[in-house]
Amino acid sequence: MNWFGAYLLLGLFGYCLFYVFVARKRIREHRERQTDREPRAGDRQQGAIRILLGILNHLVGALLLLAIWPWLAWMEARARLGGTEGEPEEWSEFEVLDLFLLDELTLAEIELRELVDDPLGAAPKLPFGHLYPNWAEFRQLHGDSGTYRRFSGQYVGEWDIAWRYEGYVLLKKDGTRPYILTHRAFLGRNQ
Amino acid sequence: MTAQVGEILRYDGDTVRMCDTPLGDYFALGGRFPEPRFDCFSNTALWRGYVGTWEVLHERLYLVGLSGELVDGSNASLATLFPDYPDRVFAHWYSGTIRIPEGGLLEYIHAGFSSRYERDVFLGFQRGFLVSKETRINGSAPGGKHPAGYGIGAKTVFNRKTGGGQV
Repeated sequence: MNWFGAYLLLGLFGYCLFYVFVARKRIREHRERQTDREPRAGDRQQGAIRILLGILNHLVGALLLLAIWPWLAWMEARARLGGTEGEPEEWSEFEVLDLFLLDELTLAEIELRELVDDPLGAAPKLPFGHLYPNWAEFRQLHGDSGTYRRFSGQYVGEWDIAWRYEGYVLLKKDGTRPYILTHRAFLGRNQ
Repeated sequence: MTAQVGEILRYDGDTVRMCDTPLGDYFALGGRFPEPRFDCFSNTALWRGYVGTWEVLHERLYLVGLSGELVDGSNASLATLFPDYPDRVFAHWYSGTIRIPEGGLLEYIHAGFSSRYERDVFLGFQRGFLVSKETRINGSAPGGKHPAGYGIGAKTVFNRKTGGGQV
Protein backbone atom coordinates (compact mmCIF):
# COMPACT_ATOMS: atom_id res chain seq x y z
CA MET A 1 0.00 0.00 0.00
CA ASN A 2 1.36 3.39 -0.93
CA TRP A 3 1.39 6.48 1.34
CA PHE A 4 -1.63 8.04 -0.31
CA GLY A 5 -3.71 4.90 0.28
CA ALA A 6 -2.73 4.84 3.94
CA TYR A 7 -3.59 8.51 4.23
CA LEU A 8 -7.10 7.96 2.84
CA LEU A 9 -7.65 4.84 4.89
CA LEU A 10 -6.77 6.59 8.13
CA GLY A 11 -9.11 9.46 7.25
CA LEU A 12 -11.89 7.01 6.47
CA PHE A 13 -11.36 5.23 9.77
CA GLY A 14 -11.59 8.56 11.63
CA TYR A 15 -14.73 9.48 9.78
CA CYS A 16 -16.37 6.14 10.63
CA LEU A 17 -15.64 6.68 14.30
CA PHE A 18 -17.06 10.19 14.12
CA TYR A 19 -20.13 8.98 12.20
CA VAL A 20 -20.91 6.24 14.72
CA PHE A 21 -20.68 8.77 17.54
CA VAL A 22 -22.94 11.31 15.80
CA ALA A 23 -25.41 8.70 14.58
CA ARG A 24 -25.87 7.30 18.08
CA LYS A 25 -26.50 10.78 19.42
CA ARG A 26 -29.00 11.58 16.64
CA ILE A 27 -30.91 8.31 17.11
CA ARG A 28 -31.19 8.94 20.83
CA GLU A 29 -32.47 12.49 20.26
CA HIS A 30 -34.92 11.29 17.59
CA ARG A 31 -36.36 8.67 19.91
CA GLU A 32 -36.79 11.24 22.66
CA ARG A 33 -38.65 13.56 20.28
CA GLN A 34 -40.88 10.77 18.97
CA THR A 35 -42.16 9.96 22.42
CA ASP A 36 -43.74 13.36 23.03
CA ARG A 37 -45.00 14.44 19.63
CA GLU A 38 -47.89 13.60 17.28
CA PRO A 39 -47.14 13.46 13.52
CA ARG A 40 -48.41 16.50 11.56
CA ALA A 41 -49.39 17.14 7.94
CA GLY A 42 -46.34 17.99 5.84
CA ASP A 43 -44.01 16.19 8.24
CA ARG A 44 -43.40 13.39 5.73
CA GLN A 45 -42.32 15.74 2.94
CA GLN A 46 -40.13 17.78 5.30
CA GLY A 47 -38.74 14.54 6.66
CA ALA A 48 -37.63 13.45 3.15
CA ILE A 49 -35.89 16.79 2.60
CA ARG A 50 -34.21 16.47 5.99
CA ILE A 51 -32.96 12.98 5.10
CA LEU A 52 -31.57 14.21 1.76
CA LEU A 53 -29.87 17.14 3.46
CA GLY A 54 -28.54 14.78 6.11
CA ILE A 55 -26.99 12.52 3.46
CA LEU A 56 -25.48 15.54 1.72
CA ASN A 57 -24.08 16.78 5.03
CA HIS A 58 -22.44 13.43 5.68
CA LEU A 59 -20.97 13.25 2.19
CA VAL A 60 -19.48 16.72 2.48
CA GLY A 61 -18.27 15.93 5.99
CA ALA A 62 -16.61 12.72 4.80
CA LEU A 63 -14.83 14.44 1.92
CA LEU A 64 -13.65 17.26 4.16
CA LEU A 65 -12.44 14.91 6.85
CA LEU A 66 -10.59 12.75 4.32
CA ALA A 67 -8.81 15.83 3.08
CA ILE A 68 -7.96 17.66 6.29
CA TRP A 69 -7.61 15.00 8.97
CA PRO A 70 -3.82 15.39 9.28
CA TRP A 71 -4.28 19.09 9.98
CA LEU A 72 -7.00 18.37 12.58
CA ALA A 73 -4.78 15.76 14.22
CA TRP A 74 -1.88 18.23 14.28
CA MET A 75 -4.05 20.95 15.90
CA GLU A 76 -5.34 18.52 18.51
CA ALA A 77 -1.83 17.28 19.32
CA ARG A 78 -0.54 20.85 19.59
CA ALA A 79 -3.40 21.84 21.92
CA ARG A 80 -2.78 18.81 24.14
CA LEU A 81 0.96 19.35 24.28
CA GLY A 82 0.50 23.05 25.04
CA GLY A 83 2.20 24.23 21.88
CA THR A 84 0.24 27.44 21.37
CA GLU A 85 3.16 29.74 20.68
CA GLY A 86 2.27 32.81 18.71
CA GLU A 87 -1.44 32.58 19.50
CA PRO A 88 -3.04 35.31 21.58
CA GLU A 89 -3.32 34.61 25.27
CA GLU A 90 -6.68 34.75 27.00
CA TRP A 91 -7.40 38.19 28.40
CA SER A 92 -6.94 38.47 32.10
CA GLU A 93 -9.57 40.11 34.26
CA PHE A 94 -9.04 43.69 35.36
CA GLU A 95 -7.25 43.96 38.70
CA VAL A 96 -6.72 47.04 40.83
CA LEU A 97 -2.95 47.39 41.12
CA ASP A 98 -1.13 49.43 43.79
CA LEU A 99 -0.21 52.08 41.28
CA PHE A 100 -3.90 52.68 40.52
CA LEU A 101 -4.77 53.58 44.12
CA LEU A 102 -5.84 57.13 45.00
CA ASP A 103 -7.32 58.69 48.14
CA GLU A 104 -8.90 56.79 51.02
CA LEU A 105 -12.61 57.29 51.66
CA THR A 106 -15.24 56.09 54.09
CA LEU A 107 -18.45 54.47 52.92
CA ALA A 108 -20.36 57.65 53.85
CA GLU A 109 -17.96 59.80 51.83
CA ILE A 110 -18.34 57.55 48.79
CA GLU A 111 -22.11 57.69 48.99
CA LEU A 112 -22.04 61.48 49.30
CA ARG A 113 -19.71 61.80 46.29
CA GLU A 114 -21.85 59.52 44.16
CA LEU A 115 -25.24 60.94 45.08
CA VAL A 116 -27.24 61.57 41.90
CA ASP A 117 -29.80 64.36 41.77
CA ASP A 118 -31.72 65.26 38.63
CA PRO A 119 -34.04 68.30 38.49
CA LEU A 120 -36.40 66.43 36.15
CA GLY A 121 -36.57 63.48 38.53
CA ALA A 122 -35.13 61.15 35.86
CA ALA A 123 -32.89 59.26 38.29
CA PRO A 124 -33.29 57.90 41.79
CA LYS A 125 -31.86 60.32 44.35
CA LEU A 126 -29.48 57.70 45.66
CA PRO A 127 -25.74 57.00 45.54
CA PHE A 128 -24.91 55.78 42.01
CA GLY A 129 -28.46 56.63 40.84
CA HIS A 130 -29.68 54.03 38.36
CA LEU A 131 -26.70 51.85 39.28
CA TYR A 132 -27.69 51.82 42.96
CA PRO A 133 -28.75 48.11 42.93
CA ASN A 134 -25.20 47.21 41.93
CA TRP A 135 -23.77 49.32 44.76
CA ALA A 136 -26.30 47.99 47.29
CA GLU A 137 -25.28 44.45 46.40
CA PHE A 138 -21.57 45.31 46.71
CA ARG A 139 -22.13 47.03 50.06
CA GLN A 140 -24.20 44.18 51.41
CA LEU A 141 -21.58 41.64 50.34
CA HIS A 142 -18.50 43.47 51.62
CA GLY A 143 -19.70 46.19 54.01
CA ASP A 144 -16.94 47.84 56.05
CA SER A 145 -14.56 44.88 55.96
CA GLY A 146 -11.47 46.86 54.94
CA THR A 147 -10.27 50.17 53.58
CA TYR A 148 -11.98 51.87 50.67
CA ARG A 149 -9.80 53.65 48.11
CA ARG A 150 -10.61 55.46 44.93
CA PHE A 151 -8.71 54.11 41.92
CA SER A 152 -7.95 55.01 38.34
CA GLY A 153 -5.95 52.82 35.99
CA GLN A 154 -5.49 51.53 32.50
CA TYR A 155 -6.63 48.13 31.36
CA VAL A 156 -6.12 46.32 28.10
CA GLY A 157 -8.99 43.94 27.58
CA GLU A 158 -10.52 41.88 24.79
CA TRP A 159 -9.47 42.67 21.22
CA ASP A 160 -6.44 44.56 22.60
CA ILE A 161 -8.64 47.53 23.43
CA ALA A 162 -7.26 49.88 26.08
CA TRP A 163 -9.62 51.41 28.64
CA ARG A 164 -9.28 53.75 31.57
CA TYR A 165 -11.20 52.29 34.50
CA GLU A 166 -12.16 54.32 37.57
CA GLY A 167 -14.04 53.36 40.68
CA TYR A 168 -13.72 52.29 44.30
CA VAL A 169 -11.83 49.33 45.65
CA LEU A 170 -12.02 47.67 49.02
CA LEU A 171 -8.63 46.57 50.34
CA LYS A 172 -9.53 43.61 52.50
CA LYS A 173 -7.35 42.07 55.18
CA ASP A 174 -7.26 38.75 53.33
CA GLY A 175 -5.56 40.48 50.39
CA THR A 176 -8.52 40.41 48.02
CA ARG A 177 -9.57 43.62 46.26
CA PRO A 178 -13.21 43.67 45.23
CA TYR A 179 -14.04 46.82 43.32
CA ILE A 180 -16.91 48.71 41.78
CA LEU A 181 -16.54 50.67 38.53
CA THR A 182 -17.88 54.19 38.20
CA HIS A 183 -16.38 55.16 34.88
CA ARG A 184 -14.71 53.68 31.84
CA ALA A 185 -13.17 55.58 28.96
CA PHE A 186 -12.15 54.15 25.63
CA LEU A 187 -8.47 54.91 24.99
CA GLY A 188 -8.02 53.11 21.69
CA ARG A 189 -6.59 49.91 20.35
CA ASN A 190 -3.35 48.86 21.98
CA GLN A 191 -0.49 48.71 19.50
CA MET B 1 -18.47 43.47 11.06
CA THR B 2 -21.36 45.24 9.39
CA ALA B 3 -21.86 49.00 9.72
CA GLN B 4 -24.05 49.58 12.74
CA VAL B 5 -27.27 51.55 13.05
CA GLY B 6 -26.67 54.75 15.02
CA GLU B 7 -28.51 55.86 18.10
CA ILE B 8 -30.97 58.75 17.74
CA LEU B 9 -30.18 62.09 19.37
CA ARG B 10 -32.33 65.18 19.80
CA TYR B 11 -30.06 68.13 20.16
CA ASP B 12 -30.41 71.84 19.48
CA GLY B 13 -33.84 71.35 17.90
CA ASP B 14 -32.59 68.68 15.47
CA THR B 15 -32.93 64.92 15.44
CA VAL B 16 -29.70 63.29 14.29
CA ARG B 17 -27.93 59.95 14.34
CA MET B 18 -25.05 59.58 16.76
CA CYS B 19 -22.22 57.08 16.63
CA ASP B 20 -21.88 56.04 20.25
CA THR B 21 -23.80 53.80 22.58
CA PRO B 22 -23.95 55.25 26.12
CA LEU B 23 -26.07 52.32 27.24
CA GLY B 24 -23.05 50.11 26.61
CA ASP B 25 -21.32 51.92 29.47
CA TYR B 26 -24.36 51.44 31.67
CA PHE B 27 -24.10 47.67 31.24
CA ALA B 28 -20.31 47.70 31.59
CA LEU B 29 -20.59 49.52 34.92
CA GLY B 30 -22.96 46.97 36.38
CA GLY B 31 -26.36 48.02 35.01
CA ARG B 32 -28.80 45.14 34.75
CA PHE B 33 -29.57 43.63 31.35
CA PRO B 34 -33.24 42.95 30.64
CA GLU B 35 -34.54 39.45 31.22
CA PRO B 36 -34.93 37.95 28.68
CA ARG B 37 -32.01 39.66 26.96
CA PHE B 38 -31.97 41.73 23.80
CA ASP B 39 -32.13 39.73 20.59
CA CYS B 40 -28.69 40.51 19.19
CA PHE B 41 -28.88 38.08 16.25
CA SER B 42 -31.86 39.37 14.30
CA ASN B 43 -29.94 41.91 12.25
CA THR B 44 -26.26 42.21 11.38
CA ALA B 45 -26.48 46.02 11.50
CA LEU B 46 -27.66 45.93 15.11
CA TRP B 47 -25.48 43.55 17.09
CA ARG B 48 -26.34 45.42 20.30
CA GLY B 49 -30.02 44.55 19.79
CA TYR B 50 -31.58 47.94 20.50
CA VAL B 51 -31.69 51.57 19.37
CA GLY B 52 -31.84 54.24 22.03
CA THR B 53 -33.29 57.73 21.59
CA TRP B 54 -31.37 60.38 23.52
CA GLU B 55 -31.90 64.02 24.26
CA VAL B 56 -29.63 66.79 25.47
CA LEU B 57 -31.73 69.03 27.67
CA HIS B 58 -30.46 71.68 30.10
CA GLU B 59 -26.89 70.47 29.38
CA ARG B 60 -27.71 66.95 30.50
CA LEU B 61 -27.94 63.70 28.56
CA TYR B 62 -31.20 61.80 28.85
CA LEU B 63 -32.36 58.50 27.42
CA VAL B 64 -35.94 59.14 26.31
CA GLY B 65 -36.77 56.07 24.27
CA LEU B 66 -35.65 52.56 23.47
CA SER B 67 -36.70 50.16 20.76
CA GLY B 68 -35.54 46.63 20.18
CA GLU B 69 -36.59 43.05 20.41
CA LEU B 70 -36.00 40.58 23.20
CA VAL B 71 -35.11 36.96 22.59
CA ASP B 72 -38.66 35.86 23.45
CA GLY B 73 -39.96 37.99 20.56
CA SER B 74 -41.45 40.76 22.71
CA ASN B 75 -40.62 44.41 22.12
CA ALA B 76 -38.27 46.31 24.40
CA SER B 77 -38.99 49.82 25.61
CA LEU B 78 -37.47 52.18 28.14
CA ALA B 79 -39.67 50.61 30.80
CA THR B 80 -38.08 47.22 30.08
CA LEU B 81 -34.75 48.51 31.41
CA PHE B 82 -35.96 51.21 33.80
CA PRO B 83 -39.43 50.21 35.01
CA ASP B 84 -39.68 53.19 37.36
CA TYR B 85 -38.57 55.68 34.69
CA PRO B 86 -40.52 54.81 31.54
CA ASP B 87 -40.30 58.32 29.98
CA ARG B 88 -36.88 59.77 30.77
CA VAL B 89 -33.65 58.49 32.28
CA PHE B 90 -30.74 60.74 33.25
CA ALA B 91 -27.55 59.14 31.86
CA HIS B 92 -25.43 60.09 34.89
CA TRP B 93 -23.20 57.04 34.31
CA TYR B 94 -21.95 58.32 30.98
CA SER B 95 -18.61 60.10 30.63
CA GLY B 96 -17.30 60.18 27.13
CA THR B 97 -17.58 61.75 23.72
CA ILE B 98 -20.51 61.36 21.39
CA ARG B 99 -19.79 61.72 17.67
CA ILE B 100 -22.45 63.14 15.38
CA PRO B 101 -21.49 62.81 11.70
CA GLU B 102 -22.80 65.60 9.50
CA GLY B 103 -22.81 66.45 5.80
CA GLY B 104 -22.02 64.24 2.84
CA LEU B 105 -20.33 60.88 2.92
CA LEU B 106 -16.57 60.92 2.32
CA GLU B 107 -15.81 57.25 2.70
CA TYR B 108 -18.17 54.38 3.40
CA ILE B 109 -16.67 51.73 5.68
CA HIS B 110 -18.87 48.72 6.27
CA ALA B 111 -17.84 48.21 9.89
CA GLY B 112 -19.12 49.62 13.17
CA PHE B 113 -19.39 53.41 13.10
CA SER B 114 -16.30 53.80 10.91
CA SER B 115 -17.72 55.66 7.88
CA ARG B 116 -16.35 59.17 7.39
CA TYR B 117 -18.45 62.25 6.73
CA GLU B 118 -17.75 65.89 5.91
CA ARG B 119 -18.04 67.02 9.52
CA ASP B 120 -18.02 65.45 12.94
CA VAL B 121 -19.58 67.19 15.92
CA PHE B 122 -18.17 65.90 19.19
CA LEU B 123 -20.19 66.37 22.37
CA GLY B 124 -18.18 65.70 25.53
CA PHE B 125 -19.98 64.53 28.67
CA GLN B 126 -18.88 64.08 32.27
CA ARG B 127 -21.22 62.06 34.45
CA GLY B 128 -24.08 62.88 32.09
CA PHE B 129 -23.33 66.62 31.93
CA LEU B 130 -22.45 68.27 28.64
CA VAL B 131 -19.01 69.81 29.12
CA SER B 132 -17.70 70.44 25.61
CA LYS B 133 -18.66 70.77 21.97
CA GLU B 134 -16.25 70.65 19.04
CA THR B 135 -16.68 70.42 15.30
CA ARG B 136 -14.09 68.82 13.06
CA ILE B 137 -14.03 69.32 9.30
CA ASN B 138 -12.96 66.18 7.48
CA GLY B 139 -13.21 67.33 3.86
CA SER B 140 -15.88 67.89 1.28
CA ALA B 141 -17.85 65.22 -0.50
CA PRO B 142 -18.73 65.22 -4.20
CA GLY B 143 -22.04 67.09 -4.44
CA GLY B 144 -25.31 65.21 -4.52
CA LYS B 145 -23.76 61.74 -4.71
CA HIS B 146 -24.84 60.54 -1.30
CA PRO B 147 -27.50 61.68 1.15
CA ALA B 148 -26.24 63.80 4.04
CA GLY B 149 -25.99 62.38 7.55
CA TYR B 150 -25.16 59.01 9.01
CA GLY B 151 -26.53 55.88 7.37
CA ILE B 152 -25.70 52.26 6.71
CA GLY B 153 -25.24 50.61 3.32
CA ALA B 154 -26.46 47.07 3.89
CA LYS B 155 -27.64 44.65 6.51
CA THR B 156 -28.81 41.07 6.80
CA VAL B 157 -32.03 40.46 8.67
CA PHE B 158 -32.53 37.00 10.13
CA ASN B 159 -36.03 35.67 10.41
CA ARG B 160 -36.39 33.63 13.56
CA LYS B 161 -39.53 31.85 12.34
CA THR B 162 -38.18 30.56 9.02
CA GLY B 163 -34.52 30.53 9.91
CA GLY B 164 -33.76 32.35 6.66
CA GLY B 165 -31.87 35.54 5.99
CA GLN B 166 -32.60 38.60 3.87
CA VAL B 167 -30.03 41.10 2.66
